[in-house]
Amino acid sequence: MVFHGSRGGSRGRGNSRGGGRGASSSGSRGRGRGRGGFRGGRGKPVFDSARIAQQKESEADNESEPENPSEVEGELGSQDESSGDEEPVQVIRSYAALMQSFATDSTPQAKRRKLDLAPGSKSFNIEEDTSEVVAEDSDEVEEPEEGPETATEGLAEDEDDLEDASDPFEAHFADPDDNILSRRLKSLATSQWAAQKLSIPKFGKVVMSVPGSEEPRASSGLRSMSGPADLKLKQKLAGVISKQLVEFDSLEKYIAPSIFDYQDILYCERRPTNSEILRRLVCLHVINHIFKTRDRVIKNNARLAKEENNDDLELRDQGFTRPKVLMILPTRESCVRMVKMITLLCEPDQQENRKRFDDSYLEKEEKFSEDKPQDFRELFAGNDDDMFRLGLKFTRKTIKYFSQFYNSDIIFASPLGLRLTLEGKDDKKGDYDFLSSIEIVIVDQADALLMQNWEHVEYIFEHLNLQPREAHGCDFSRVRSWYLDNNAKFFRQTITLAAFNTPELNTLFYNQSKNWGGKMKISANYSGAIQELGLKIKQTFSRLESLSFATDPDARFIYFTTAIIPSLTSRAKDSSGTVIFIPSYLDFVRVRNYFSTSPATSSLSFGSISEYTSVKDVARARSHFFSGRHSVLLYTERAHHFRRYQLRGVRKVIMYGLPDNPVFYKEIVGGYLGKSVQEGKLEPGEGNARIIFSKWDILKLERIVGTERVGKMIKEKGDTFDFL
Amino acid sequence: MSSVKRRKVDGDVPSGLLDKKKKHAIKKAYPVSASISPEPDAPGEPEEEIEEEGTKTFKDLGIIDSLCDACTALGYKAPTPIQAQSIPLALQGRDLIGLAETGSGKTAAFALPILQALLDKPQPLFGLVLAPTRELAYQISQAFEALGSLISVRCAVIVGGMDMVPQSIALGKKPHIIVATPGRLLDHLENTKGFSLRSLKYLVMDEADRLLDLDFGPILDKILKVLPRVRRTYLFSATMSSKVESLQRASLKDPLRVSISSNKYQTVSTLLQSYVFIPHQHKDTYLVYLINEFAGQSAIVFTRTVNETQRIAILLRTLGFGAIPLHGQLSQSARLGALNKFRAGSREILVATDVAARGLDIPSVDVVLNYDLPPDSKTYIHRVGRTARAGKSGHAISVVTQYDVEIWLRIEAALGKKQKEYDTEKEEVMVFKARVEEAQRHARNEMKNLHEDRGKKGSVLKGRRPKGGDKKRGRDEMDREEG
Repeated sequence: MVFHGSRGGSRGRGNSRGGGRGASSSGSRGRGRGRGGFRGGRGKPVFDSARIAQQKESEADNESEPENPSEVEGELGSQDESSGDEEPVQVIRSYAALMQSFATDSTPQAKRRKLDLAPGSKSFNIEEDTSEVVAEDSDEVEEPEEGPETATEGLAEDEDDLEDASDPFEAHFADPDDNILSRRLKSLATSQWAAQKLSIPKFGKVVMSVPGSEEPRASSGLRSMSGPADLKLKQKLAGVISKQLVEFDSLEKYIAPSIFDYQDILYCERRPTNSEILRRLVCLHVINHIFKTRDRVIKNNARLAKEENNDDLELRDQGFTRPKVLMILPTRESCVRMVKMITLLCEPDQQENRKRFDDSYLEKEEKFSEDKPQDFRELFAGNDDDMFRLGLKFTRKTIKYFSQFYNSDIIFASPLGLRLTLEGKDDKKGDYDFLSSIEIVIVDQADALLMQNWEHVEYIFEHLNLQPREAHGCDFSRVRSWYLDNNAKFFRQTITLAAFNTPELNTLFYNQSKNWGGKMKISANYSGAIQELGLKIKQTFSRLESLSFATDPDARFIYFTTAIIPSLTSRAKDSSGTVIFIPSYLDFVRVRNYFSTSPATSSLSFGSISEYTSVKDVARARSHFFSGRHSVLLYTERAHHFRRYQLRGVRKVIMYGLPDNPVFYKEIVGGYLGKSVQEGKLEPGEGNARIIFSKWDILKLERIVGTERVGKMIKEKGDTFDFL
Repeated sequence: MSSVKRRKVDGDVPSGLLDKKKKHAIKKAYPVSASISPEPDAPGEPEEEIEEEGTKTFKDLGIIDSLCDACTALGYKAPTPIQAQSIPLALQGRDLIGLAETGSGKTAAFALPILQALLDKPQPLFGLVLAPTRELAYQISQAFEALGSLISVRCAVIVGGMDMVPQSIALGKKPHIIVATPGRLLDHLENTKGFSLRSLKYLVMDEADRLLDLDFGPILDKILKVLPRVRRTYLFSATMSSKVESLQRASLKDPLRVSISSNKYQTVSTLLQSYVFIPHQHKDTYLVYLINEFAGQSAIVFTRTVNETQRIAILLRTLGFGAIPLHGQLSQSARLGALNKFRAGSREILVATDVAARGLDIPSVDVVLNYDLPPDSKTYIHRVGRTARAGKSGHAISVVTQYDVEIWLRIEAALGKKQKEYDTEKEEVMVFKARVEEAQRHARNEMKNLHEDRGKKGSVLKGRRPKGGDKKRGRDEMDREEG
């Protein structure tokens, strides 16, 4: 595990997509650069505003304490907040624009429209810059804390949503059965789980675990639901969803009961094709939870007001702080999709700050052509910035974007974005109280998060459901007793959606999913990526003996240098066109250093592409490799994840380790060699692949060779397996 | 607190004191005399006297079985006089004023009736106990928890110097009993949403005289304003000052006064008191000599200032004694730590300012050494009350120098008897002189370092200089012991 931690760390911030922006700048991105613009930009709304009377004062304010514009901004209200988006543009347009804005002071409306058109004419580079400045700005929301839900005003909308003991909301949060609860909490304290394995056609392999020592009843099976009508939804939502969806498909049928029963889920079969279905279910659940919580609070407010003198009345209906849902997402685009789904489901009358959201999160341009793989396009289409955080606040009829965290119901964030807030900046102390009362965590596209920095995700989970350090206006007499008893983490529902399972996800699922309601892991049977290559390639899988997970990298390196390198160097001529695929950057560095310093490899010319290689160097490495000047190319998994290069001139593939994503295997072994065959550079059947694996790679191996074969390959005496 | 004030309180007392002394000849043995009188009473009225034989059991007092079991489990065999007197009255539902010396079992005297009433009609936020200091608050809460362990009583301690939020959370859990110092409690009443004491049934003010001493007056008034009028109120104190009398009018209804030991300045007979009369310059040497004489026994050395406390602790440690300092400039956790070490017996000498003089329940102190004489006789009583508790014997030795004669005479006068001089051989004492002087030098250097470290993180002495005449201490800091 030590090794893992350091690996994540070194990949760190820089991994936010090697090439494009330049790896070195991406670490400090948005901070150094953002700041300058941020300061200048902040004051801008003052000039925009028609409040001439206040201009002087604000200006002075602005000069004296540029860091503290909350007062000014607060006064300007929502209208000007959205106009804040063009601030950075003005920074660029400089003095002339400033003068112009003075002139058009009286008609800010028209001016804004004009300015909105302006950025389109900018060159790409500048726009990139501006969007980053906006990004920094948009996450920095300054508004007063409103305190917890008790502050919620308004009347309960539909009285027909009666308290119903069979409603999972009641059963899990509001009024859990004390006997079962205390028994399960005891089991959780000792980490006792009773697991049950099921296999369900058209859905997958399911492992259900419930805290406790006794075996779950064999008959319990997996519940299924036929449609949204079976869910205990709020009336309003039920109406909306019934128009969109009448009957569940096979996936929804089985996963919906667990989602809506507040169980923890690790779903390892997320695909671009089912992502929308999953998103809808998850958003529906989240909104349902938020609305139900709010209804309860409002109803209880009314009851308290009515029976003011009744001290026996104990209504506990909330957490320490308001945010109750956390969505950890890889990119701004993924956030846009979530938000879109939420607005579609709850049909708000009004959306505050919507324009500002669109400006800073939405990117309509199609960036990638059809030849990029589908999963790649899903992940990197639109705004792929991996540094954001957004609060979303629900009121009766409106949704407010960019609400202050403590006033928000949902927090959307990328791991990096949230971590920076949690740790605080140099001038500000970190704060994690707003994560104290998170009741649902959604981790979407966890496989993409693994390619970012997984350590951030772990850090976030460590700071979930801790007791707050400040009161934040909390009404302690309304806080649910299990919050006070520091049991919140046993009530939190964590839903992780990933394209495949990895040891990291398993660890998170094992360590952080402590839901008293139980948890469920869903994976599929794999036929194996080797089945889908579409051409004959000799693939040799060699198992190396590795005693422990920690020493695996060393064992692998020794194996590589003793068993693979000699075969490469002995026939130096045949070795041209060899791609060595290396999953970990650390291993990559080790192998690269070996290639450049060891006498054993002096006869081999080599190039390398990693996630940190600049665009220019990548182009050079590719062309040298293609032309044969370099016979060997080192290539990392992350480089492939972020770029998906179509390497040409490949005659032989060596996999130093297996890729997590089975699609990569298909693309690299099948795709690269297939391309060479197509181009006539390789005789069909001549290409070959050499794959090293150890028993620690079992999850990866399963996806590549198929569920049926994996057991044999790990356990059998022989250590070499050939496939054609 | 300034010593000026204390002296003033003192000045008020003697007239009443003299009255009482005339009326009650000092009784022979502990338990002495107990008197119950309805309040308000003219001081001159004759008081009903009850001879207490000490044969009663808790059950006889009307305590229910489950609580009796708890008492037995804690090793309380028979009720102490204050318990025997006040519990039956409390169970009748009367307001009480209890006057009894420290170590006489006051805490159980009010805890038992409250717990019994709580059992009868369980309810959150049932009782509130106000105490002047943080340590005392923790002690009271421990007593409540120990006595109530069989009936699972939830108890919260609300004192200054600790984080607000965990306390808010503890209050949010609606404990049965709150033990608090007034400043922080008011803070929570004003700022913690969802916390109110509207349903409170019992209010106890422990060490009531001290509560008033520390200028808690305005805060107490504010707290009393938000408490329900219909409630039981108990006032407990070791001494009765005129201020306590004013307080009782404000908050008590038709109270009964239970007074154990009618003489306020009486000490128990198992306490052997004496003094050494020595030149000031040999003070340290004599101290070391005395400690050496009582080696192996637990002792508290009282000094006047924080500085002296620290210095003497270092001095003694240099000479190989297990000494530990306790004073108001230590952080809260350091103080609790010091106290726990001492209580656990890993250190046998506690060097303390008057912080430690009251209310702290340290079960077995064998010797009390007054290195500096207390500023007044009331404090003297409290200091020597640290030893010879619960029927055990104990020594109290005061170091009197040529400068202290006047104050010593005043104390003797208040005690009503001449004390014996503790016999010392000057030659024997002077054997220590050389080593003590060496240790003194070392202690001086250490002190210098400590003072230089002041204000830095992790320093032993907190803050800059103590804010001498500055009366405007934060409300939150009021429950912090001075000295």
